[in-house]
Amino acid sequence: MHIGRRLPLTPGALGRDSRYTLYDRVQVHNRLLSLAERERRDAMADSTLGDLDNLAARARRDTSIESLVLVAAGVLACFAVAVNLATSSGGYPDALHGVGSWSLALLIPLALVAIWLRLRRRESRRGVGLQSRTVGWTALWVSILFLLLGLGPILTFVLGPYPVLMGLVAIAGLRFSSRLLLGWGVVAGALGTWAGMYQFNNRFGLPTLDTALAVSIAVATLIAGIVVGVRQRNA
Amino acid sequence: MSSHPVTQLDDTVHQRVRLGILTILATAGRADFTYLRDTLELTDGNLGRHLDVLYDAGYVEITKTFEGRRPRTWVTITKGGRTALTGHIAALRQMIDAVPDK
Repeated sequence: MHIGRRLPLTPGALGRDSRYTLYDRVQVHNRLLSLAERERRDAMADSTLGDLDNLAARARRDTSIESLVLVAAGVLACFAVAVNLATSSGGYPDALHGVGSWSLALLIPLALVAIWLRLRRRESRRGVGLQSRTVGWTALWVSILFLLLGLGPILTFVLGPYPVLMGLVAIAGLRFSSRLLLGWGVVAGALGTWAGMYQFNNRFGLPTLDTALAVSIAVATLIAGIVVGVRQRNA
Repeated sequence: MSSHPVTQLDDTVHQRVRLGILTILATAGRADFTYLRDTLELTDGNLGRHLDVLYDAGYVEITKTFEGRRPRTWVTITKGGRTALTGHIAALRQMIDAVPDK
């Protein structure tokens, strides 16, 4: 072998040339095999990542809480808005402030406990997921803040139902990496707070628009939860 | 000179089934033996052997519980397992990016 000499890339190019030793020929063969192995691994990597995406998508679908969270938020919002409208007096229909919003201080912790129990049952039945643990801790903290420290009536009565409800939806989106929940929580929460502050300040005289907005957010949240649930079931 | 991404692949993780197990666990948080077996279409013995390898490497934790009289095996991913999976997938992506377009 000649040190520093450049060897051909393929064994065929070595031919029967007597300048190349057996060692040279083995080296060329090994280099080619190594290149082939790398190419094979590159191709495998491509298909492997596709398979992994499918597996992750299936696990995400089996553990998704999007529908559950949106339906719960939608039911609570519809209830609060309906009760607010039914109990409003003085000719000023207020969809965002009243007994309905106030009762959320108790209903939100209860809803979180219901979601926690539902998730525990689902995880046990399907054999996958650990989301109930996070929801359980959230239920505990919200119960302490709302019921023991009395923060719930202040937040839900003063600001209306949406900052708290949609804030929790956005937190769920962050915690469970769901863009849908995060986006929904932020947009619906911002709109609801905007409408709530108009009405609470009583400065702008837009009760019809505020009421329409409050009802629309509640109904849209409920419908979105049902649609997501049906789509997941059919997927 | 930077090394080829192949050198960054973790042999324990690279095996197809083990990569699948870690992916499911990283996404779902935890899964039981039956779910993993059915999703990955494996036999009990095959899945058990792969779980042993991952457990020995410290990538998963295995908890055996009883529901009534029925035993149940839960598998969760460890911090080390999550790190190994993330590094491995990053290396795979690097390999794909390194392949020139035709």
